[in-house]
Amino acid sequence: MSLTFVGRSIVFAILAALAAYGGWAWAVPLARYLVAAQDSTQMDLRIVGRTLAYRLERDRPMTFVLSQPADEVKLLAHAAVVEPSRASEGAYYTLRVALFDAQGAEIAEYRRTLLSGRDDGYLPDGRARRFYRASGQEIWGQDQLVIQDDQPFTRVEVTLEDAENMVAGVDARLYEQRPVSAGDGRAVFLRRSSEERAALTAFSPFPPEMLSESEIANLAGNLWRPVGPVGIEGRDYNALVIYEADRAAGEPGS
Amino acid sequence: MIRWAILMLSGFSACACSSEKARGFFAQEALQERDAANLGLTRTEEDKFIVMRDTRHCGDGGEYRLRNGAAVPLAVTAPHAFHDRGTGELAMGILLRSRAAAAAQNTVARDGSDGCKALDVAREDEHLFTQFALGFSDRFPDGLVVQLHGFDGARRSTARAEEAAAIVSNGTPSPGLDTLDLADCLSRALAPHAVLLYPAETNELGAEDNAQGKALRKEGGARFAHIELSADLREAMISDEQLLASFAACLEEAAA
Repeated sequence: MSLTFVGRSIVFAILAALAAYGGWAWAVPLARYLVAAQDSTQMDLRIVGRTLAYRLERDRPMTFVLSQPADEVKLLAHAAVVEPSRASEGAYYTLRVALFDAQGAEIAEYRRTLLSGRDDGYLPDGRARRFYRASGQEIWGQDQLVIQDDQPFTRVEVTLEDAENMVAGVDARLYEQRPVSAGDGRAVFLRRSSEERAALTAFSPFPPEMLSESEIANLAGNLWRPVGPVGIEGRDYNALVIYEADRAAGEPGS
Repeated sequence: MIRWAILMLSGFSACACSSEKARGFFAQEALQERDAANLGLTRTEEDKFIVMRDTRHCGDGGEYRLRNGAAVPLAVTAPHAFHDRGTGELAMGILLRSRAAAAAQNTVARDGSDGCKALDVAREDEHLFTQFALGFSDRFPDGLVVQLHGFDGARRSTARAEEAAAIVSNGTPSPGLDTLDLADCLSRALAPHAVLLYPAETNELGAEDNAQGKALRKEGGARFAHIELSADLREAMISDEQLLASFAACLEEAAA
């Protein structure tokens, strides 16, 4: 038995209505699922922290202004690598760091070529411990430069001068010492998490609770805080969020 | 006993009916003055917004502003506008400076410090504030309800939370991709101030008991984001237009 034209039209109309309803009801959940599925390789990791780093641009200085004159800052940097050759043990890059005093005069300049080591830590399943959610670039080993000068400085400029071809970018973070008033040292130290206290006292064979008052005060004076670059994000600099995972979500203890 | 049971039953059904009515009211695009009055709200129009507010003395119904015309499916709310100083001003400021569809704030202090009966709307399942969130969700099932709160760093139990500028949560121990996106955007916008993600980076202020968050999750519509702001950041955003615009842009991006 064949359907008449009217019958066929009715069947098509019903199917079209069902499809429209399905699209209306399921389009948003489906879109959310697809977006989630794209990122699923990273979502099943147990995230333990996020860090902000600033992508250095070649031959264009990134400027950091300190909250007060300092004679020491800490610069952390790493290479972000694409398509590395198998033989590469690390990626070389060269940074120029210039220090300026409160009057704007350049008081020192350093050039350092650093090697960002390939083995930056992997999870047991082979995935990187540190990663960008929005990019496939690999984060290689972190380098630390402690920059000191006899003269106090208030501004630091960091420039990427050179890098190997496989280096897609170099990300930097600058830290200044956190000012702690004399009486606050103990409170500042005790309010750190147990992991932070353990890291600060790693040099000592004794546990943190056995430190003397003067040792605690010294440790509190050695706390660092991040400094952001000058300008507007997206226009003057690009900030990237680095995720850190300690294990896959399905592993024991997660 | 029977009379008591009948009274209880009728009271319950009236309450449920009134909740449904409130939710349906907030789900509409065209909000009528008579319907607003039935909920104890006074309806006025200001520029691009329909404003509904409980104007009674110590009226605890809240204040709701809805944008006329096209908007991003974003509701910015401040349930503790008095106690968490600046959050109400920020919610309304973001509504003005963005294309957010709505904003809301409470109208009596959560601790009774304004001389009225204390009411914490973030813990009230049946309050208009919750019905507003559900009605918004009905109208924008893919939208985002953001709640702004304020925290006192000195009262936090860890230095990391004490030093944070903001703590972002979706009210559950499992932040979804959209919550990660929002936290990342805020991290970039507020740099170098720390924006923490609950519970990966702090186990404080995750809002897992928040009434509006729970209601939205139960209904499965609009998403929920709970943002705790430090006093310094609230002050900075109130005085710095650029910073507030960056913050608002992150919320819009998360809702779009």
